[in-house]
Amino acid sequence: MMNPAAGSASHVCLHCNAPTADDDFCCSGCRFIYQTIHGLGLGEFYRYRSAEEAARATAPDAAMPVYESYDHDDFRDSHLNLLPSGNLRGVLHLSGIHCAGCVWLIEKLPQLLAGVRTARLNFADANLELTFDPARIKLSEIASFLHSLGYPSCPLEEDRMADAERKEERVLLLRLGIAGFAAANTMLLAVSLFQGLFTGIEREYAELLRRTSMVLAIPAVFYSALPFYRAAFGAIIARRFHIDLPISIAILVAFFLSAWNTAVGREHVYFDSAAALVFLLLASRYIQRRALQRARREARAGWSFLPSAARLIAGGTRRLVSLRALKEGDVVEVLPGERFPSDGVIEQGESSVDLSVLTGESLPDRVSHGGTVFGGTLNISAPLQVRIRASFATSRVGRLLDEMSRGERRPARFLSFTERVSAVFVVTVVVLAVITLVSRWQLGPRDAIETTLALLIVTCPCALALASPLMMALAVSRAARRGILIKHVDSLERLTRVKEIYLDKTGTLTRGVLTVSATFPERPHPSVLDAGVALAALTPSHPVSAALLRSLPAASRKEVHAEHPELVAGRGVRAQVAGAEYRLGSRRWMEEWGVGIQPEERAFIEAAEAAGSSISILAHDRRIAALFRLDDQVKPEAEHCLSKLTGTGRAVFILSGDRSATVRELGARLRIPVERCFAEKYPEEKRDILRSSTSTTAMVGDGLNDGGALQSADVGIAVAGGIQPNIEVADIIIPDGDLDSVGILIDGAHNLFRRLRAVLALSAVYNLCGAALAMAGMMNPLIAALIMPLSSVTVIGIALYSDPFSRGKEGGR
Amino acid sequence: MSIIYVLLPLSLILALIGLVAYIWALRSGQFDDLETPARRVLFDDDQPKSPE
Repeated sequence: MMNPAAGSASHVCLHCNAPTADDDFCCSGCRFIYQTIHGLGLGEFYRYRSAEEAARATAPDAAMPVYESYDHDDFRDSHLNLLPSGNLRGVLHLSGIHCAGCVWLIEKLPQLLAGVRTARLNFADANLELTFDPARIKLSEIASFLHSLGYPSCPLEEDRMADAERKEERVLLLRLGIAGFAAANTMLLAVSLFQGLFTGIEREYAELLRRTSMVLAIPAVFYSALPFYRAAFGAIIARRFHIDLPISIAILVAFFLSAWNTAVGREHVYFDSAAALVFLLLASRYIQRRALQRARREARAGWSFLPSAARLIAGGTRRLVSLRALKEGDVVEVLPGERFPSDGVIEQGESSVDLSVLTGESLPDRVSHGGTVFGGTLNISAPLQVRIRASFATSRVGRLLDEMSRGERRPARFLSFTERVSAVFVVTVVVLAVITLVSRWQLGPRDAIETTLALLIVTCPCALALASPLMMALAVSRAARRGILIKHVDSLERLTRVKEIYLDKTGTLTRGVLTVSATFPERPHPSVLDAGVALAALTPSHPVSAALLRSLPAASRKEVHAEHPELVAGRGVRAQVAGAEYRLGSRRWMEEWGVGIQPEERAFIEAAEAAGSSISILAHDRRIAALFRLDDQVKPEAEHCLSKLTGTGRAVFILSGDRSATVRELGARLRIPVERCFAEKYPEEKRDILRSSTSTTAMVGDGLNDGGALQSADVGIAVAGGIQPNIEVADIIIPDGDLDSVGILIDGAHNLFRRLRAVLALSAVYNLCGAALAMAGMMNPLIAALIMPLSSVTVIGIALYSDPFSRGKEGGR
Repeated sequence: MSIIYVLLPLSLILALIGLVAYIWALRSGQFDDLETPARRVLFDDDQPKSPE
């Protein structure tokens, strides 16, 4: 992992540009990659990236995961395609893609590895499509090679949604192209017709031009514009209003009126306006779609917290099988550092298990023969043999995931902004139309009808229909630049109405990792610290050890080794350091052993436990050498952020799976009333709390244990540590976990809607002018062709140019 | 001015060719990934050396 050392940044890592003390590299990972790349003669890689891109490079974790499962038959059947040539084709999702150099490097694969035929990387998705000859190279070898270059991979799960999205986008582009073709050509023809309105045009040519325009407009009006009609129709059936309703009316009226006029040989045709309208609206949809997609893509974590394979024990041998092949009753072996593939009962072994993914609880549980374990949780200290009790689909994690993928968001409690606008709009236009029709009837029915229809055309709310989605898309991309990824744009409006905000504790309000917050004595002897570090290094995946390794200064650079290590599951670890025996572990173990505890030491321990913190004891010779108090540190901005949120009349709640004492302590510190602090809640209980609330709610959380709650809230905000299922159901994602972003988000949402209302007012002015002209009988295609683009352009210009999203979203820093 | 009966279809056919080219590019997936090619532009063409 990247490991920026303290000290002067006079040097930067040659690979990832992190500041380093006096070395060329920040860590052995970066050094290894650099040497590999140069060793392959690919030093050009470093030429192709900018400094900021370099900073996003990371070195992979030292432990290379099991890529062997890529070679199995059932993997091949489910993930790879067999081509007629005998080659296999598949897609791997890579992490660590950050610059053009990565594309260059990876697409060189055919030249670097014999047997790889083609390699094509999609930079935005970080998906690598490759074909290879299975007779010459194995996929696991390819994956290992990529991993050694800094690109860990995982199989791309069949992403039906991405396929459907791509198809949708192609259809949209097709409609757009056809509409553009129609619009451009009808507009050219219209120029001649406009001319003709003033200087006269021979009848036969006018007819030719009108008829050609009609033919050109037909594909635009009857194919390209279909999405608008469908939305409008759906709105009518559901008895709601939708902005596509007046738009569809305008387009269809424009076409049929013009078609009629063409048939009977009258002058006014609006084919160009109709086609241009379709084109502009589709173009804005496309732009909006791309802007939203960019934010969503960056949100995709791309790694699954589940293992892709399990080690099945059958008939005395161990065999890797894919997760899907596991059945109830199978016995699997789970090594320390690995996650359980499904729910089960322990057959053999004793270990500690980290349940944080499910409960958010920072401290591991001890388990032994007969105990239950849950799929997705982490085995920490010793190998275990587990009899699988349920297939993955019926395991607890599996069911939570399934519910999240099927679940629907709560139905909207209120009409959205654009719905209300469309409603008012349609009613006003209908009223005006009736007035026009009636008042002009005496002048001649045909004239009255034409005037009324012209009114319907020119009052099309195209400006609003164009500006509003573009403004929302712009807000999304500005937010993304700010580190806030908005997946569902409609959640912004709900955000302005949120009355209750629920926050998870572990990983959301706190950093989610244990650190050493205090030691006793305050400055332990360096040799004691060395011993502590050495013992902790024996079980690096244990949260307590990780905390010690992270927080204790590496007193001296020389490596201190622990000899004759002995791990006692659930108790601690014992080893010899420099000839002296040390133990590191829980209080219970120390008391069993007979360690003497001095009064000050006891006071320290009890103070910590009363506050819900944990204590780890390092002992030597039946005496305490050092006490470490471990806390999950609260994020520094938490207090300030929560008081700001409460200040605006919203209720803030803490919703945690962790122990009561810890949650109470946190609530007191953050000044959340105790009745608004929920502790020891299972994921299902969290979800139910959100569901049963009657106000508009927002949920901020990270782990899987928050997934159901995120989905049941009106606005679900996922913070850093993105477990992939959360990313799927969350509306908004804050990858860096900065809590201030929540406040900024809410402010920004309010700003956005203020501006939307201003834009609406402006476009209403245009529409009223156009309506006035139409009602006065002064409407003709030229004026329509001018008003509609003019209104659209000015409204969009103002929406995009006056960009005070910066003040709303980036201000306050 | 009756030349317009020739010019109009002619220009429409030209425009149609453009549209057809667009549709072909769309169908062959050239619009699917608009970001990666932007990065590929920077690469030099070197001699491919295959380790066969």
